[in-house]
Amino acid sequence: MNAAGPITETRKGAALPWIIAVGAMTFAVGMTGAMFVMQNRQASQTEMMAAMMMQMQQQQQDATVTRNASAALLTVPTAPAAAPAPAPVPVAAPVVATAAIPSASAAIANRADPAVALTDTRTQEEKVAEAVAAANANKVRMLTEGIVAGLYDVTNEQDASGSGTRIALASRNAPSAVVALEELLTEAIASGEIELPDSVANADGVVDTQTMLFDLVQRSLEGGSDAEIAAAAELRRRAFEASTAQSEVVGGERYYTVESGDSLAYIALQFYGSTNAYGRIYEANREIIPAPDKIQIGQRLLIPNV
Amino acid sequence: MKSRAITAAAMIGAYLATASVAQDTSQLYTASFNYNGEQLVISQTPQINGDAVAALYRLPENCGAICVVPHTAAEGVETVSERDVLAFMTEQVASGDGLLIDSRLPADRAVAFLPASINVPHSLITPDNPLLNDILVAMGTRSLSGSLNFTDALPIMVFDDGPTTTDAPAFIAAMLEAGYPAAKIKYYRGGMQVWTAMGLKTEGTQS
Repeated sequence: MNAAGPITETRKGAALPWIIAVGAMTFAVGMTGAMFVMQNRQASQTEMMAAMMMQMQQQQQDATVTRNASAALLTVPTAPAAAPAPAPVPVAAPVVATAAIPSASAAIANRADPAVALTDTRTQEEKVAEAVAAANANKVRMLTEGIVAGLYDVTNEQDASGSGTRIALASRNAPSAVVALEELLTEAIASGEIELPDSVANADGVVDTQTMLFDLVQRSLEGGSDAEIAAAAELRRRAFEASTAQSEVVGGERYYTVESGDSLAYIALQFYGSTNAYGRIYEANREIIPAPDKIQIGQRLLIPNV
Repeated sequence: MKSRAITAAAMIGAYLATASVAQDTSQLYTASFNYNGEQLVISQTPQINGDAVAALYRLPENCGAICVVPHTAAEGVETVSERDVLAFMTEQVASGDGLLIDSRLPADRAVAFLPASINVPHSLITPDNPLLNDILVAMGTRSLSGSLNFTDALPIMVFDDGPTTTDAPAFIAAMLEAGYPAAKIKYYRGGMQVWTAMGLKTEGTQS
């Protein structure tokens, strides 16, 4: 039994320290706000610079960030090959290209340098496609570099439909890269250029590009340098802690009920901080899930080892 | 005229008196719920066992009179009374959606304890206790390679001997330090002393 100590009364009616404290707080909050605005502005400037550099050196491709899953997204889309090609295909940029990054493709398309044309055997279309691939690689790199530098937040805010909160990646150094990559993924999946992974397919049949983006970034980092692997662990930690998904423990085992918008990858993101860990949930629930993309709203899934 | 006014006042007084008496009996504490497979009934007895109450007090030497802890254990942690404890037992502890935690050391608990409570001595909640993680997980917290997520952490209600002891405030401070959300913690400040003094049922050697 720890006994309570004597009560010490502090009842001094001095208002001055309070006024000073409030003043100091207001000043601190103001300064923090100003710093934040400046940082954001710098970040967007950096991004613009990067985009300009990229346009000027469109041939410089960097394939080092394209790993595994990201490879599909970053490879040059050979648009006409997939089509039956009955008529001569007009010189048009692939579907993915133009909408997502008009500036890059437009700049390259306008560079009709006759001297280059003589020595360069590539068609205009190929050049555009390559530029797009370089641009995409650049966006993924900007994003992953920002994550290695810790310039991001894992947010968990109300989703568009207002039915609940969603975990999202908020980049501080390249917010527009996130938007562009999400658009790119949406279009690439719609046009059949890349296949939606089974684990990301949700019960509603809506393409969840945020979860795909997490998947892309995490896979890209996990196969990288020591710093990138450490950054992947930090990203896992942040996603794990940001999760507000509710589960219940029955007899020492944790269960989660599938909700609208859930995919195995998203559930894994919420409980393990990593889309990659979906296999653990899939294996533990093989009896009720015939395939990773066959989960149903209302299903009770066992979440092992949390 | 004067006598009529007195009569009226007396009648109003009598009415108010009966009303307040009626209110008092309706406020008698009682609770009945299922806990660990057995039906627990908690009611107030008219005979207060003075010895039982006295056994829960150990007057500290460094205090002239009885020392008391502050009303609030920590910011954001609600301080509750017996009625809340009974409601918590029937509505949350019984269904496994909440834990009533006795934060005293086992020796103190051996004297008497609240029905449906579990013992988690405050001395266990320290950052260097390797079992801290397991304790938090047992309370519903999710744990993954050193990271904690308190989304599923159970609401807890913490008590000790009572307003003269600091076990529960120490427990609460340590839990907040570990990251447990203040909104999920409630402090039953009256503890064993007030519970017993109100004639409410306890368990242990004295019951």
